[in-house]
Amino acid sequence: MDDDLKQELDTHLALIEEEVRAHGLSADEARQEARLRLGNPLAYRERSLDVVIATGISDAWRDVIFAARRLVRNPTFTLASVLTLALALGANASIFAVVQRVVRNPLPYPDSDRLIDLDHGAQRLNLSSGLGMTRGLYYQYLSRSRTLDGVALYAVDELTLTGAGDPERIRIARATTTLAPVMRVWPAVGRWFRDEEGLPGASRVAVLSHGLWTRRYGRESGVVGRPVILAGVPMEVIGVMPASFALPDQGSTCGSPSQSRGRWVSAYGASRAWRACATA
Amino acid sequence: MTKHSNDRLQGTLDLLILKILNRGGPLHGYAIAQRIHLVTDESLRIEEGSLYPALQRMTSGKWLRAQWGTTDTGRKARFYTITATGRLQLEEEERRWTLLTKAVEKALRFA
Repeated sequence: MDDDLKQELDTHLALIEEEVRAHGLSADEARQEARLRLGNPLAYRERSLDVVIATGISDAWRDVIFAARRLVRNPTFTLASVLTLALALGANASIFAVVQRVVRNPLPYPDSDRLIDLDHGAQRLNLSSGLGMTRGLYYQYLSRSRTLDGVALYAVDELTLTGAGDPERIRIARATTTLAPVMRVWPAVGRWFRDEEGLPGASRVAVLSHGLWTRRYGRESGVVGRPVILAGVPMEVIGVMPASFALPDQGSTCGSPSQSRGRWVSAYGASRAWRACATA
Repeated sequence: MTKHSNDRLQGTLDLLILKILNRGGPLHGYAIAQRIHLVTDESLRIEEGSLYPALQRMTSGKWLRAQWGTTDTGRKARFYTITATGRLQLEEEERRWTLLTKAVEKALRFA
């Protein structure tokens, strides 16, 4: 479009030049005179384009208003087509949601296809799997693995929660501080464990599950910093996981609350089996 | 087609172009400018480039029709002709112009 205008203005300029030359001016003087008479070609090109855009928009808007008026005047037709569209869109959305949850991203973690369950077996004992992970192996994976982005361990247990309210027996999970980065889910309130809190001797901290937070603490945001007592050991609450979070452990998916603790408990021996998750 | 209510000069230019193209056409931009000089006895000075936004607007509004062609010296140019809608618009503009000038005249005589 702009090319057309450029062509037109160029022709006009040339024609003025021809006319002025016929009156006896030199080529340079003619060009100057022509430019003076025509004005700034670029400015006129831009203004013409603005005009085209403006009329285009106003015409389009008038069409929209006209269509709206016609639709209002034919309510049955409008209703029928709106219902049909709604049905089609709804079906489309449902199918996509199902495919997304069943095929593409079945686990409730971002990019769940990168998560791997690490398990070990003992060939000589004819055990192909089921031994889980040991602490020693965990450190080997951490330092030596080239294909894994991160490794996290957790172990589920049942302990008694005392403190504010009635004592309760809850499921907890002890996890390495790498669990949140590996799963890519972070607490909705408060914060996750720091790496130092995973070392022996560090202050004891806990992250609550969303279910526990709702049930026992009534979703108060002031729960962060409060102490909880687990099996007689006081710990500080530092965060709450989001409602969508659940550990990939069959036991803790039946709605029971779980807590994560980022501390190696020395009471557990080195042969204790741990469940492992890793990302590649 | 919407007109800017504050653009009096623009309306005048539209009127001139429509009148000239009504007399004869098709004409390209340069020819229209020449005719304007002729018809107004050289008393009107406009930058000739300002014709083009006006021509574009009137073509979009279907008052004019534009077609590519060649001038007698062999250059490519767009030739404009007035349409039936354009003729109706011309009558309307002429009427408005006469009303305006009469009103202004009265006001000037009064003051």
